[in-house]
Amino acid sequence: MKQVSTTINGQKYVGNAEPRTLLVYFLRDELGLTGTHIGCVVGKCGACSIIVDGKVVKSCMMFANQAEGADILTVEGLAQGSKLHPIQEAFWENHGLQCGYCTPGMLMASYYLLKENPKPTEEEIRRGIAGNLCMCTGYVNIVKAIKAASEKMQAGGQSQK
Amino acid sequence: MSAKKTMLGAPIKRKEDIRFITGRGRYVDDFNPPNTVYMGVLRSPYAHAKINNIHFNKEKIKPLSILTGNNSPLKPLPVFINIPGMKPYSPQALASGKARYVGEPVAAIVVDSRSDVEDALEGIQLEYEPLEAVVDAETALQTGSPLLYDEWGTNLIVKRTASRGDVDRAFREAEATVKGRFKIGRQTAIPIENRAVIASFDPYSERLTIWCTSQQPHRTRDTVAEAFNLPLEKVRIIAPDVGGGFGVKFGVYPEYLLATYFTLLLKRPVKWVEDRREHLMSAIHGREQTHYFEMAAGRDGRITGFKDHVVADVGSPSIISMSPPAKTLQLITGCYKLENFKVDVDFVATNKAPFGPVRGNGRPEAILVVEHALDLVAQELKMDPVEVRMRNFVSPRDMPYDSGTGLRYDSGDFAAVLKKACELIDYNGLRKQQEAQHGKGRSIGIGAVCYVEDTGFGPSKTSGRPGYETAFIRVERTGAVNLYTGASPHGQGLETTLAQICAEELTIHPEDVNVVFGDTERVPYGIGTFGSRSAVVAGSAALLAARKAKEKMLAIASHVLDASPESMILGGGVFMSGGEGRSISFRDVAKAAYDAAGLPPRLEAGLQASSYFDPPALTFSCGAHVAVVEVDSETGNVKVLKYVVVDDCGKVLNPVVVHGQIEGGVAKGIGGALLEQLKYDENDQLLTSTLMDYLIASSMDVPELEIDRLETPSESNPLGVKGVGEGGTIGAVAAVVSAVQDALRPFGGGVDQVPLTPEVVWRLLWKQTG
Ligand code: FES
Ligand code: FES
Repeated sequence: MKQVSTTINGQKYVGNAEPRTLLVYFLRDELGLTGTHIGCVVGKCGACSIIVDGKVVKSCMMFANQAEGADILTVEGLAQGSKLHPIQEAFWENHGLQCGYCTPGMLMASYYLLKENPKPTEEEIRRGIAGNLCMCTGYVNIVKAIKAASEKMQAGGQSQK
Repeated sequence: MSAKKTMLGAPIKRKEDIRFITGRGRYVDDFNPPNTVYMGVLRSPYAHAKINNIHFNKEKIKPLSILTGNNSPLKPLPVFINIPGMKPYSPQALASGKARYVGEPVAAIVVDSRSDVEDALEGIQLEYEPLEAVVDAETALQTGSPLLYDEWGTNLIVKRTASRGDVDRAFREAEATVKGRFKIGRQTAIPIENRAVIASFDPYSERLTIWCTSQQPHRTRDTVAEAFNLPLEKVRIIAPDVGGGFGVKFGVYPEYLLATYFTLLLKRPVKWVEDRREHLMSAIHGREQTHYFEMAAGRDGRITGFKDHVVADVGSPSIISMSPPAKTLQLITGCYKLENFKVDVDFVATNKAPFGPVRGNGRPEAILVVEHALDLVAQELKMDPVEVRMRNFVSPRDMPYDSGTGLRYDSGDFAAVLKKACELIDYNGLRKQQEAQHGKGRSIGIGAVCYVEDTGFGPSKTSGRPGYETAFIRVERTGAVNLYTGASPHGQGLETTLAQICAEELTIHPEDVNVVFGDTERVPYGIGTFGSRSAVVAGSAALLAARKAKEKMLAIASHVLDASPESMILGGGVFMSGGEGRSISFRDVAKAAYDAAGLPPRLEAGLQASSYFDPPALTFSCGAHVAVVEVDSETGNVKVLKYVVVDDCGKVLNPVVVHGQIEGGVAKGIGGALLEQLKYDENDQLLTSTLMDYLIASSMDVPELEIDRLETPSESNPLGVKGVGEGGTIGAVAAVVSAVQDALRPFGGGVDQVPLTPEVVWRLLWKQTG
């Protein structure tokens, strides 16, 4: 067991992890941040996507120890209090989710995509979320939602956070 | 109430979404009761083997408890779908005596921490005596094949036939005939959330609570109570947020009973969360069938006869294995008026994982084959495939139409949906373009198909199983509404749809209706969410319950206002007496119901009502799908370029939700047609045990869809709705296959299987041209 301290959603967290503990289990089981989900543990489904030091990562592909000192953003940190992030709003307004299971990972992948490329084309959006699987929506409304979020964020004059 | 104000049919945002987009959804694995222990399941590495002794490796972690099949006290799981005349079998929670598929649970253990599960499992060794296995259904039917159940003397579980007219004569007199073999691969549903269970027995209250990934909490409760001889009222099943089901979370799995066994023994909560490998090897598989079909036609394109022999590979038979092939047989004639047909289905046991419903449940298979046969007829007669379909549709004048397979189509205008879809995508224009591009290196194919499906499962009387759904409504003292549904949604948006239905009836806002589901202690006895039934059956129950509450409110309002009951109306959340111009708000009537002092004589206090809606008949949705694909002749890769759906699911309650169902369904169908495949190798091992090998459609595989609709209201429910959860998939598999068939035509080739992976398509091309 080793202590791991990280900043998650702007807050300091300290927890214990064995060398083999994956970051996703550390978040969920040790820190109680259950918004991040698990669908495959082989880096294929994207349900566990989070932002680590500004980059989107699949948290099942990282050990908890590797996150020592990292700055992490998870789905729980997207909204500011009760004010939703434009990406969250856009997913809601465009019916970009059904069972909600892929959604946290999808939101984080979208967050990174729009940070890197604030005005993506449809093709770029599709590529940007190709590593996030959804069995419910057929992606149609997810693509629409990301487009809408991009527009919202442009209109807002800033890409929040 | 003016039409504009109506809640029904409005594209309102979903109520459930807020918790999902903020990471506050609660799925089974998110619950961690104190003192939990973790269960691991040891699975057979052999497809077929005798199980002998068990050994422990002392070095490894010692489990708190262990159960093996050979010493298991557990009763067999009740078989849910029985077909008359089928061979008897009793699915066990743990294989005893012998294992019949790779991945079959053979032992289970519990340990203190989740991270010890793997180690502890490695410490148990079972002694196996491998037996010859059979993983191919046609081989399984040959004499001398290894047998799953020696006492049967065969692997044929049962044979079913449906026929009408004189099919032999139809073929004798046919002006044209086509025939083929079509192999539909083994696939599964892949909800992104795997299966999970927490079973927790509280020794003080002697109550058992189980959280599990379920589409049917009440049925799970009944099965568990029965399996452990527990009083029904002491068992509580909670299906919290469930991350997709699509059929595979329909039944009760062995692991749910094993977790129950351990919690009863250890008096501690027992948690099991499977990994994707376990899911792919032991959750329900579906689809796999091989069809030998023949179709006879006149030169005018009229189909005169149809024969099909279906070999359905149901794997090692389990609780609902017989359902998909039985459904295929019922729907095999599709949208067509066939006077002469004979179809038989062999239900065959093999050494593969148990079989059951996967989105569409046997229907995509039926529609795929009949549509494919029509394509071949069109090719043979050099007619346009859409034209051939138009000449053979069951027409609205024929409704209600007896399919001759046990279904009675209630309504639908198949020609109209197909015509509309062709117009939307400019079918004639596409055909011209295709012609012009012919021989210029691009292989474009167009597939235009039509599907029909039975939805809204019930009625109880004819199906021989409970087919109703329930609703309990309580208008609270503030005028807010709690609606408790027996359905168990897992992504369908039912919280929103049911809230809309109640809001419309009570002329209040959907935000004021809270929908409660998935907890047997809170909601009335329900049948569950599957088979495109929730909006139809649970929606109708919600409407009828709301209507009863409204009746009572009208009585109270007229009493309070001292107005005649006949003059009372409800609109915009206000009860008005038409003649006298007096009014009282919805909220004040609710308050009066609980304050009781001002109630009319003989009226009880409170404001609640329930309904058990049992539909008088199945109701039939239909739709047309047109797909345009491009086949890369170098790589065999198929890309879907364009896609149009015209759907008729009766009255649409929320177009956002309905379109979402269709879009997800189409993606599943595209994946099914092109990608998804569970493969076993020659040693009967499952090759596709991760999402790296079992491919599902990603955002790169699914195009933008254009969706339009017709609305033919159903007459068998008060809402006029028909189910929509599966139609997208049913139409899409057939449409994509039809489009690829069309693209291969110039090469002199044709398709004979799904999935049409690049390798398969390349071979189909190459065989003809190379
Ligand atoms: S759980 Fe990490 S990618 Fe699937
Ligand atoms: S919303 Fe269910 S998996 Fe994406």
